Amino acid sequence: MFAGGTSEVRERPDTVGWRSVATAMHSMRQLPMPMLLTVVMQDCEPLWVDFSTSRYYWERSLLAMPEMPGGVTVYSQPLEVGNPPYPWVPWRAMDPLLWQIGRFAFGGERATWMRPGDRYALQRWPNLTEIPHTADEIRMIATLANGYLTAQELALLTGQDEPTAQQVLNRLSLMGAVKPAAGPLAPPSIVTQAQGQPQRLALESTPASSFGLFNRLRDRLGGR
Amino acid sequence: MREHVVLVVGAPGAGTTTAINVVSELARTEDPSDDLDYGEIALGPEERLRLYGAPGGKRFDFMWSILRQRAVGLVVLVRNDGPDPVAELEGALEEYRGVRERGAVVIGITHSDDVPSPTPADYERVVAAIAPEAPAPVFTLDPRRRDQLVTMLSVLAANVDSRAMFLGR
Repeated sequence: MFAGGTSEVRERPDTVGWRSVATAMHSMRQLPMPMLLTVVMQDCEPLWVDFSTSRYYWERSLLAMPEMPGGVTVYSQPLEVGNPPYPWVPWRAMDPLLWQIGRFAFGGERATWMRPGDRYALQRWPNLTEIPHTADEIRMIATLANGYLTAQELALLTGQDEPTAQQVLNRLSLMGAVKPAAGPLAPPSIVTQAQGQPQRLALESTPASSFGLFNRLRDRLGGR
Repeated sequence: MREHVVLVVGAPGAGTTTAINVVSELARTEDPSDDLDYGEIALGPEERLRLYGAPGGKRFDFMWSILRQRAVGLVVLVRNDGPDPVAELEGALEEYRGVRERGAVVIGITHSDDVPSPTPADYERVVAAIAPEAPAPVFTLDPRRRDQLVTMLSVLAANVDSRAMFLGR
């Protein structure tokens, strides 16, 4: 179960909130070896995250996740390849957990591992049938599916404020669902056009008109 | 009348007929003598989203070939407990290359509660290899659940709109 037959545990410092958990998770994702993360919090059941199978186990429902847990300690342990831990517990797919942690971890600020001005594009869609989401979030994710954008540009094209766009980028990045541009990149022409318009026209040309089919469908089927 | 044609395809038992019936405002129930399932959603007095499905893979007739040329969206339902679901998806993406290149595609994995593997990540790798230009959504789906179908169609529509915005259409 654990690499080397021993339980190698590395403790990360106590903090309040989900920021250190999100940062540790992002680091784990970059490692080549399979890892198990254990998060211990005050007044909460321990949370296990198995990066070898992209699953988690928590007795608590995600709907009852505390926004600002106290006494957070994160432990990481390497795992044996092909031997996932604790096979007797009902593990669940990790996307909904990361989506929720990403919401609380940084608010509308940039995630610790993201750099100002970097452009991101979608590399996979989160499993939205399993994740609570809004119509605005669908619009933002679909926009990232078609070009590399900064948080500011994403906000401009979708009619959102920048912290809201940044929060969606944070959540997608934590899930490994966006990729940064490999190097300096000019903004897509649609961004240049939108930036060149008077504010009134820019607002008129984003989301209401640019997402016309989507908006009419949501009006009809509900969910806006 | 402005219309947006969306094709719903999948192997027998994947849930294409159920999905069309559950999400449509007006649906024609599958008749064994019919070649097509049909449902529609009114988006305005003169605008319709039309959903067409071919039950049991009966999709080689003249009508279907016309619909393929007009479609702006493709919903592929893959039955996870089928004999070779990954090959099924590969086949559908190749067969409907024109639709996905012109519009948008969304993939729904059904029966994944019964058979957890392949996982959505396995399908995402297949999709990325066949259509690397933009990531296609892969969602787990219960075709009896209207909320999940609304999400899938919403994502399809958002992708059509977003693509048009970037291409300046």
